[in-house]
Amino acid sequence: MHLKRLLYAVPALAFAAPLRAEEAAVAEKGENLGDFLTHHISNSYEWKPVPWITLHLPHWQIGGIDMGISQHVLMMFIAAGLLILLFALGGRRSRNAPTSKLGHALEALVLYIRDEVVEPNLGKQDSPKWLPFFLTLFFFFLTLNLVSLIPGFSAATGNINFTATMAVMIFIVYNLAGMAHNGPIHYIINVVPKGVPIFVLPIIALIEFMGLFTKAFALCIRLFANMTAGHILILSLTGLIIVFKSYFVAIGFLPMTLFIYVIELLVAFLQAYIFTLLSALFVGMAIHQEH
Amino acid sequence: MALENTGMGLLSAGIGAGLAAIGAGIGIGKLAGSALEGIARQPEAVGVLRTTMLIAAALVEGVALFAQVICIIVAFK
Repeated sequence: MHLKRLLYAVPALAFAAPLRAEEAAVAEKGENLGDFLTHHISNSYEWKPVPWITLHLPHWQIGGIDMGISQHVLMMFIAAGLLILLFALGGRRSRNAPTSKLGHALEALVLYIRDEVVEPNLGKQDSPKWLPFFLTLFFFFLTLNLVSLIPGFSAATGNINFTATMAVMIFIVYNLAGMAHNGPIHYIINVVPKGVPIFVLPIIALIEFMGLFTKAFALCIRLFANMTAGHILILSLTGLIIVFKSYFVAIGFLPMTLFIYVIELLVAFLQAYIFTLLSALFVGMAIHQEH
Repeated sequence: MALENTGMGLLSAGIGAGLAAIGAGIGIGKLAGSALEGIARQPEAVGVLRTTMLIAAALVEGVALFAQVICIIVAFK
């Protein structure tokens, strides 16, 4: 009757195979769980898309600083290339709506960001100026988060240097936007809201100025911690094969791992959306300082 | 003495991570409870309630994850 529906579960199990193959390749070398986790979470100059192919990535030094294309940088390039490809294929050809199915799917997300994230926070006049920026931010983070879930790929958003750079960029953007819109002195003065009684003014001023920094810091840590914690969770459950030193425990732990994997898909979307929403909120608050 | 300090450090990292998990659990649990109550009272507001609940859950989880990150840093020192 509904037996055909069970076939839909098969592609989900297909994800298990590369995970377990990688596990098998690693467990044979007798590693322990700590090394396994550190190896998969941290950045390196070798990349194994599948366990039997090792790519040695270019690595050079500029004035004593390590530069070069590491795993996470390669993920960023892959995500950027994927985005350019998707939007070139799905974008509209004329002034009317997009015609292909991919275009309609992307349009749903684009309109959602425009109507729920950018316009409520920035107002109807400023929104066309800022829309490309927030759309790029959202889709870049979304693609990076989703690509990190493919077995064999690593998480660029799980690298604190990456999220810290993006947070610094958002910090600069919202301060500069506030200063450009309101004038530098007025912007700094209006960081403290109006109508505050005199005796709490120093405390409120201190909190508000520190708040400028903690908002960006919170953006950085939230994305980094969510992505890294999610990947550590998946890797730990899969790495129980190493702890128990047998492959048969995988039969019991695999459904749990798949369940956590599906939650990670939700978290990927949610964290990209939250980053974009909060950035739009901060830029909106900096531009329209009346409220 | 150094070994005792290492032990205390690891113990505190573990306890801290557990406390952070309790905080996240309580916060998101209350949030989901209120959202369910709101949906029960007014089923046509499901869309807004679901979106708001997910956003607030992500923010609460962010705070709990700050603590987890600090515990991981302490545990691996």
